[in-house]
Amino acid sequence: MRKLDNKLKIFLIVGIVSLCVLVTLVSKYDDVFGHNRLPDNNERNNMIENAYLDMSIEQLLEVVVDETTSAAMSRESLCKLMNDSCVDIII
Amino acid sequence: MSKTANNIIIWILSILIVIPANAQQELAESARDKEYKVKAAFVYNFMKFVEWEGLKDDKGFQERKDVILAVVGSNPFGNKLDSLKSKKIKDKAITIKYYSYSDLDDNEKQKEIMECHTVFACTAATADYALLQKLLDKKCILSIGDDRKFISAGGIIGFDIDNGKVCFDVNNNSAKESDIKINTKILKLARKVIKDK
Repeated sequence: MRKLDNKLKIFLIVGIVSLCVLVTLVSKYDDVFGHNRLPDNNERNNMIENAYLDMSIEQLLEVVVDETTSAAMSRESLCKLMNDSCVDIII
Repeated sequence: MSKTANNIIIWILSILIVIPANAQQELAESARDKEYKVKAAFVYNFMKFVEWEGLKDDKGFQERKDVILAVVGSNPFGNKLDSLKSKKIKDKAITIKYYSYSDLDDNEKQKEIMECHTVFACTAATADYALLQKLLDKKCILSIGDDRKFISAGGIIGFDIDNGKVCFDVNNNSAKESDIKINTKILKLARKVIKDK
């Protein structure tokens, strides 16, 4: 039984190491050859900045920059709208 | 309970506390990041939709190959304004310069700021806004402030956040005094327009 446990451990370790090597190789292949490569953080930031620059003022006014405030305000407006019944909605 | 089990519970609890704290900090940073990316795009749009009427007959301005945007105060944009360098305003490139409010006491820096075409005033104390406005008063410079207090201090455009979205107010009286013509499109989209006393 103890021998079996050891074999299982070795099998698991080899399996995990092989998986890590495989994932690294695949990601390197993608980095080098640009095959289905996702943009890195810098590239993504540049793309987003350029997208904003190409937007009209109307579109920019609709961009939610602070989702927490936006959600809180929506709740507030909903409460205003429903007046006293807001407690029931939250429950 | 064994000592090992206790240790495991402590580790799990620490991870559960640290992960949400980090996530919240990252969320706040990314919200601020997004806000200034959007504000940078607004600044670009404002520069596109104004006419520097007072400089219409200025040969120096007509022959210039760039328009200068000055950021005064503690720069909240980071390097986000750099993307404006690839854009053009009326066939002119955009040059960006950075100053602090303490530069307003320096004669050389004052001259440099007065040669700019657009000034972005970062959030500051009312006294700093007043000092900047004194310098920009009636000069053909588009002044944009990072908060709504700015237009009460005599600035032309002031940003604000309303319902999680960036919005802006316009002081058209200040614009007229500075010989800046603001496109009606901007006036229509502004949250509040101060006009004709």
